[in-house]
Amino acid sequence: MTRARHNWIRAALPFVAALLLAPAASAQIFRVTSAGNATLTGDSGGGVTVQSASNAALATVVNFGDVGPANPSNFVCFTQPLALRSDVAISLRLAVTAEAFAAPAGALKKSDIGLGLINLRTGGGLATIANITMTPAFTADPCAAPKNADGIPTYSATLATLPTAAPGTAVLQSTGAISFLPGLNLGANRVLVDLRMAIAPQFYNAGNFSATVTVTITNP
Amino acid sequence: MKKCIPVRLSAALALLWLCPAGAAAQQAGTMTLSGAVTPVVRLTSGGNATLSGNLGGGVTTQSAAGATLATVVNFGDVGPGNTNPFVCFTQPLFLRSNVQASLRAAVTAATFGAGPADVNRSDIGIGLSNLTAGGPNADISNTVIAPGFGADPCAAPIAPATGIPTYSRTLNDLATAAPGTTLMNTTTAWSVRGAANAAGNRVLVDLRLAIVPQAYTAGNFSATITVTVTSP
Repeated sequence: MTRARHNWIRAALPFVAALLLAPAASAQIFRVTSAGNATLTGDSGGGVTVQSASNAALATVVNFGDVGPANPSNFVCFTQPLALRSDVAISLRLAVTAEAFAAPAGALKKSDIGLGLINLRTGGGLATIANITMTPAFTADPCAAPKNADGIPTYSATLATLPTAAPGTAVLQSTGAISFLPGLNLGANRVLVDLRMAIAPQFYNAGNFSATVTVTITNP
Repeated sequence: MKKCIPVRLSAALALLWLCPAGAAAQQAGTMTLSGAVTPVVRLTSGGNATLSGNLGGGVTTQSAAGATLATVVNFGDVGPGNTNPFVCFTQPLFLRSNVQASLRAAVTAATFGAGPADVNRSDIGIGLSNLTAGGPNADISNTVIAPGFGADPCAAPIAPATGIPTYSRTLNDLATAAPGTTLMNTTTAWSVRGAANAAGNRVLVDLRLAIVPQAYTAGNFSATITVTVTSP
């Protein structure tokens, strides 16, 4: 009885391994979801007002608060962890699909909001980042951007770098699958990356601003 | 029954693999961000004040550059014993704003003699000079000095026959309650980007007071001028 059971297991293991490791011919799965709660630091009166739970659709809402000179922080820094899963080559793309910025030169602009992806990593043994490359301009941490003597930062990429229609600019690409079992919400089959945005409080013209950044995963 | 377990496990995995939870040409999510910039106006000392033409006296309390303005000056002897044409006090100011703003001044405390020959507020000329942008992130293009306050009181014309100056404006032209009389205003922000204490986004202007030594009645005087920046 025991020998027969072992034989069954031996017979099934290659099949299971094949299922796990071989790309499926019929399914093309690529998903971007939240990887957990977003964070906001250095803010004065702001906060993350709508969180996107881990593995849920990304629909985060953040209020940066006061980013004028009354805020003494070096940066107001927003971090949204993302989870990526795919069994095919993918591109992660960004676009600013809605915006409201004041027109005067002294007002806060899209170019005043730094953007970058950091902490690319696998969530476990069923994911790989070996075939992932990131678009160079988007690999710098905007919350550590250098500043000149007047406290004005130089970001590698800003919201002004992005187009206004989705899916937008590719900021990360893979040449093949990054997950095994990408259809499952496993911790181990996801690639994690933190999307960061930063604003250095300055003497912008008094006023308000808003923008919607749409994050899209495409093949490729 | 136990023989079936591997089969069921394999089948379940295959089902999950071949029937994924989601498959699409693309998938998207959004992050909606907002924020605000609150109005800010700032006035600080632009550095050490200076006093020239004085006999005795001096700046007894300085306000360091970037610090709160709390300067104390003793004009010394402004009677005929002082042979200088003017006792001239200069206080550099730093101004910053991200909204339209006004620089105002008021004489919020004063002690002057009552006699007609005593030093009076009308004997102390006042004006702004050397309005400049401190750097590339400062804008004075929409700044206007109020009529009369753009003249240098330390260069006021003096009647040759009497030695009495004619100032464009004196302390007598200032209100007695803060924020007081507008000396200068801007219709747009003075500071366009840059941090709270950046050098490049400050507007510099010198506030000057002048007294021409004359045969005033002997005695003392004092006054406190409160300088305020407001957002009208």
